[in-house]
Amino acid sequence: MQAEAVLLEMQDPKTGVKSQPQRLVITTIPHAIMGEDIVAWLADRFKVDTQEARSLGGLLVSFGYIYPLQDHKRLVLKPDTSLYRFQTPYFWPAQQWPVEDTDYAIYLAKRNIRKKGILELYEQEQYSRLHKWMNHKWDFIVMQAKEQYRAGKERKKPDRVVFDCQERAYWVVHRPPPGTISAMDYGLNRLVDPNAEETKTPDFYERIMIFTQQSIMRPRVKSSVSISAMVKYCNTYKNHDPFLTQCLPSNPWVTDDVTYWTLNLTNFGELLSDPRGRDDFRLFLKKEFSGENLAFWEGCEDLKWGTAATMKDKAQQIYKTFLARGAPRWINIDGKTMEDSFGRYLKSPVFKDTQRTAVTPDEHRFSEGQLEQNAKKRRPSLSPIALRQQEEEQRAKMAASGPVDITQLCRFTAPVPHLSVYSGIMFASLSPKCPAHASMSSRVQPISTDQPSQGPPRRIANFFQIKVDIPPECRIYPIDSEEEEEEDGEDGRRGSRGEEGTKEIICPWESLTPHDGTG
Amino acid sequence: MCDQTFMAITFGPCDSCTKTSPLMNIYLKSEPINYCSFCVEMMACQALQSGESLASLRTESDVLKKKLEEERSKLHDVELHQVAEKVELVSALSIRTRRVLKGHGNKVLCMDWCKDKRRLVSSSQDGKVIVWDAYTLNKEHAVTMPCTWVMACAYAPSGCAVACGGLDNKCSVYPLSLDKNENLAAKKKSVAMHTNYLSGCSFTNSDMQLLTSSGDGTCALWDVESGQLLQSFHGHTADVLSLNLAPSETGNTFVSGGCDKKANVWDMRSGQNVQSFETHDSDINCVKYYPTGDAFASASDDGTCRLYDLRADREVAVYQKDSIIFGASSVDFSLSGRLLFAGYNDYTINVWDVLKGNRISILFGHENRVSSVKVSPDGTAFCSASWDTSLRIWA
Repeated sequence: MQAEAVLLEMQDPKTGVKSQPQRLVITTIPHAIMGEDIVAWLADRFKVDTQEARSLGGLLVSFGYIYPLQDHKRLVLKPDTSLYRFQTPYFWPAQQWPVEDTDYAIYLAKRNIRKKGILELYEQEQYSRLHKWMNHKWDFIVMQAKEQYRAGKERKKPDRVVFDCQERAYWVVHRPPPGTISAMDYGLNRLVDPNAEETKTPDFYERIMIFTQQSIMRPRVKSSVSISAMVKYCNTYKNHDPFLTQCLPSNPWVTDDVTYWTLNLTNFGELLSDPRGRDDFRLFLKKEFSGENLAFWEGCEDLKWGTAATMKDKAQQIYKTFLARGAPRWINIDGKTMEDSFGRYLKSPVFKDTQRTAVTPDEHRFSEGQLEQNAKKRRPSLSPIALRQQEEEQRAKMAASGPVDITQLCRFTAPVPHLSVYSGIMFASLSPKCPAHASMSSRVQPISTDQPSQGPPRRIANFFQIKVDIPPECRIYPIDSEEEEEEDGEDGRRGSRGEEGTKEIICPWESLTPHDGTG
Repeated sequence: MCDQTFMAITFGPCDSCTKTSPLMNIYLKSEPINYCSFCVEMMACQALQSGESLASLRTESDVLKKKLEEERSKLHDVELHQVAEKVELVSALSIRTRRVLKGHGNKVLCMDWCKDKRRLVSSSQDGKVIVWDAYTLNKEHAVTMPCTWVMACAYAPSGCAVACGGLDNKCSVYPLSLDKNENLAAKKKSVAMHTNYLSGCSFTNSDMQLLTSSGDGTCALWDVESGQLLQSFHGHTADVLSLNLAPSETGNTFVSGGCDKKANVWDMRSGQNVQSFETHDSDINCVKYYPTGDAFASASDDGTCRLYDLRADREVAVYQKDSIIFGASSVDFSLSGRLLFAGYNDYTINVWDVLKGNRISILFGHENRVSSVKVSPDGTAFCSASWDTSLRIWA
């Protein structure tokens, strides 16, 4: 531990904490220091504020590196003129002396012999307990105590007082009064290397060598590549991080208002990050014959986080699987979009702006009084166990009632957080059945074109706007790109989302291509 | 989703015994060969026969280790803080205690969030395990374990069960019930069994599998229903103190840290140790994946937290300060991965800027060691557990 190094610095005659002899009761104690000086020194040495310096100093006291002269039982650092002394290294906890009950018994017996040294109540209890427990060697203990007492008397008075203080401080640290927090409490003993002796066999080294050799051959990427990915991730998500960007309308923990949580039940990102949610969603898509959309999204995710080396291959793979004409899992994207679709789901500042304004609830502005009211009105939420029960009952009911009409599922499971997104919007959105416009534009329609046309095509755009928490580059953005001009403003909530906004999209492995017109 | 694919295990005939089994891709004199794990073990033990002395083996392995470090540094072209130079500074944070959860009678040793973003489970030294609705401060369930020092607890993904364990060397799963009068202990299921204390546990992506770490130096994957051992993970040479599952369900890896100062990355399917990092000077108390799964952070008794990049295969940042002279016990990332919250044995919580490497804030409040720090599933708050018997929610 580095505490010892700090202690040595503090005691440096020139640069350390200033000390002076102090008269205390009838004796003069050398090298006494004041609490406020300790705090000031620490604050200056580590360039930290007073609060942190006090906290650090307090720990040094509680570990017994510095001990209080006056209020000796309370191991706290008072930032005033209270007097302290540095403990002698002999008594530092880092010495790791085994703290022996015998020594403690001798110490207590010694204090008992001394007339003035009246034992504290808890010390008396300890004393009688030890007396009972160590009865067999009590004569030895008393004899030791007497000897030490006599030896002490022969010392010069200031020396004796100092030693008594040091010893007392040591035992306050290691046998603290009941109810105090002991810094000496370190938890359980860890078994560090139980096999230390056995490991030095040939196969120990063989194993290390096999492993090291594997590690040497392991493919790596340049630090610059992996670090850039990390920086990019932080930047992408910083607007979704409640610690960095205020969450709207407000953080439930701060305002005691749970609107944020109820709003975010319809959060697509969460659905996809929850394996169960994604499985259910996949099942749904399968039934809707549009599983390729999710697979495409997953492929893109993989592309996003894959090694730089494989990026090109993966991109091609995705193109071949999902985007090329007549691909095995051809997804429902119109011809023009296909050409530059990679670019589109990737980062675009304009798109991010659009995203931010897409669904932004107004910020809560609670007054102090309202906040107090909110805090009083905290309501419990439905237990996950109850949710699970509802879900199971519902499943049982559906199983009993024959073939599943999955479009109905949403209504039943609405209260379940991760399922509720299925309600309405979402379903229509990823479905390839969005009809009408498909035939109008030069849209590729991998599945039969004779779909009824009463589907809600407008919803597609909604789908992409509702999932506020999912960063733009994971979006299968292009699907709705054409929708804009073909639709009338059926949906008022959407606000004006500029067509131009979708144009400037930069594809990481291509140079910036300006998209004019419809892209 | 995250790029762990290159460590994928292959199935096929072993180059040595020809049996079809999961293969380890190993290298002998830089020649790649595919052996099953049994043949690798056999080969490892054959060294004696080849007449090599211990001393020569040691030199050889040291040479290899040096070579590994060389390989690692070859691709090290830039430091994290250099790349982060252009990144905007984090604006001042206004993190404060929003809830104090009181109810434990002794040191709180571990906690875990429920997926519902507001419930959590905590375990303490006196054997109590409490399930809270942290939002309302209600205690919803309580279990008394038959042992003290319940060092690990985990909330099941469904929110319908908790797992915990400690000095009993076991990990037990308690299904939770709405019936307040029901005795939870009666439905207890002992799932995992170790030969020393349980230091960490985590459900995988379902309620059905449990991953545990133990003072016996191993980690293990268990089937909850049958209590069957699915896979064990050997490689640490001392107590394993912490484990963390890769965030993506396709990752299939986890990371563990322990008293051997090593942080190891494991392939869950094969049980292989795929990466190992040894740069801390003391016990590693906690490991935690970066949100992308491409990096992880560690907290150690040496007073530092470190960041390791898995793709670059090296340590990329050290979070330390002169004034921090006591050990770090626990770490977690904010949602965007920009902030690192770290709990310390000096009763404080420090907030680090992951990219720039500097400390942004220090939080006071606890009156004893901070044992665990975890960010809530939606990133709106984080919870700290402390030896001062309380838990605090910060936002």
